[in-house]
Amino acid sequence: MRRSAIPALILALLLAAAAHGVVPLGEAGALLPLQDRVGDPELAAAVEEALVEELSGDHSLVDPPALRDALRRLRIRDVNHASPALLDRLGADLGVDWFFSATVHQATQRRAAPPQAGRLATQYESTEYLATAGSVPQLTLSARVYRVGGSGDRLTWAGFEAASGLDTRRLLDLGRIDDLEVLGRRVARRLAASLTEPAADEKRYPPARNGFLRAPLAAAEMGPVAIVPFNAVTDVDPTVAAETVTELALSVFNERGVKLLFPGRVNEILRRQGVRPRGEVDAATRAALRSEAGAALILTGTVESWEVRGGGRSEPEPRVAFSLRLLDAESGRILWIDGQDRRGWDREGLFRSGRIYAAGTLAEEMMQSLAAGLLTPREQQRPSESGND
Amino acid sequence: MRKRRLVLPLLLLAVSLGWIACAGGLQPTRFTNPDFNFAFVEKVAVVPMENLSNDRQAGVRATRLLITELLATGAVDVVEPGEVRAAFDRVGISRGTPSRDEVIALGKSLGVQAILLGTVTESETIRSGTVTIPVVTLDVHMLETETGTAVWAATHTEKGGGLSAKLLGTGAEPISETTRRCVRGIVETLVQ
Repeated sequence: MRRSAIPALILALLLAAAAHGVVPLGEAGALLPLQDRVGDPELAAAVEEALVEELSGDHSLVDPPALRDALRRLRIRDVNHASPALLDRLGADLGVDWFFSATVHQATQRRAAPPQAGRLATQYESTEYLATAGSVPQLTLSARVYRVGGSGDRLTWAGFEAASGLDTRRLLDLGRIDDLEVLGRRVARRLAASLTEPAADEKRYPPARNGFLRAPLAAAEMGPVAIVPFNAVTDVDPTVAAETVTELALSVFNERGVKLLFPGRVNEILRRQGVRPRGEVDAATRAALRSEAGAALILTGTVESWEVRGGGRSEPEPRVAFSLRLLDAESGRILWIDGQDRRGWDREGLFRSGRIYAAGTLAEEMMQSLAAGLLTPREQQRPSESGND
Repeated sequence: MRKRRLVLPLLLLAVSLGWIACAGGLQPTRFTNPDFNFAFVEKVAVVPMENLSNDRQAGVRATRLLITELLATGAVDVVEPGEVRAAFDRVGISRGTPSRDEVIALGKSLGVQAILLGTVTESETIRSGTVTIPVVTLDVHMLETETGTAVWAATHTEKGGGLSAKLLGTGAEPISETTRRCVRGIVETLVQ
């Protein structure tokens, strides 16, 4: 081997190792039961199967019966609200190093209506009906990884994926997905694969600057951030909308290098306070998060709109609006407040290019823009500041 | 000769376009107490705005935008909404506009020199032919917390839709943008 090739080989190995840094290859882990907020067992089974296939390729997963027994023994019903201490006990019982927990937040499948009876359909209507006569499924998934026995207060990784059956459509309706379970498998594989993929290019998302920001923040300089569950005032399913956008915030800010407190730890503190704050924080809650979990900053927000119009005879267009607020955990001062209100087709180009059909996809773009408006880009951070914990 | 024939029609077109573009709305109506020293106000609390419109999200949206625009002026600091709600619970205010004594108690509890209250009286999208125009009307007033007296009030209506929406019936703006402009118009009467 030439000497000049050795540094390149070492670099390649280091990069490969870094890519698997969240969950190193070969470590034993557990895929926790899927949190199904939709109540569709067939979809849940398809998503779980796809996650198992994707994760078991590079890692060894604990047997589901052993996992179920351990969960029952420790009385863990909703893993998203389990405290780090409880997850550490579960990990010790099972002999695993990490947990992967996924949630199906939303799944819709709208069926087209046939042309009205007793009336001759125009050529356009017939064509449109045939084009949408299947359905336009949409799906939103999120996931978290928790490392057993690590820094119990910190979130290791969070992911978010959403899609519509029209996302991969090409000419003549080729590539369109009409089956919700097929879409579910595809999105689940993408979610699991994102565990080892590099972060999205930050420059892809133009920063939102319609709000107020005291001073731009570098992710590496920020202290630990506690995300308090969002509030929602939507007309439909406010609880689902609030949970979805909360998970989205976890995913996007984690991807951008912000140190986040483990959500189970935050929930544990809020439960002990006897409060379930949504979208706002009072002085007592702030003090508890600061003193018990070491939170330096608190992020919360409100979802104002989460809806999808059309999807029957016409193509679906989502409308999403939400706002975020960042507080100093010590003083309670508002450091940043901003929001976005967008429709899926508002940046449409020629021939329907640029249309967004899934509410989750639209929300992700919005959250990335908001995060870009708050955080300084990574390349502007001094080398000594980046990546240090 | 041909040029002269074109001048009048072009002039009429320019005037029409200018009239359409300017047909946006009235200036805010405001009251300011001349005896109150506004420099004294460093920190304010914004009470969640009451919503009299059919748009369920209008109150939350307007409240958030009022907080944002006030902070953006740099003239005052704004208390976190969660602390305002906790203060309401401590003082024992459940519904409606706080009384004078309650305003004074809130001021002491939150450490603010003034509180802002308001109402969304209109938040809807009007359809005129093929054109959709969002319309927002806000009414906001400020009470200073030493005596509970009103020291400032403003009301403003803003209509959305730019020139292309009015002429071509395309690209109506989101109602949140119309609300933002309405809030900004109101805040500008307070912080000049």
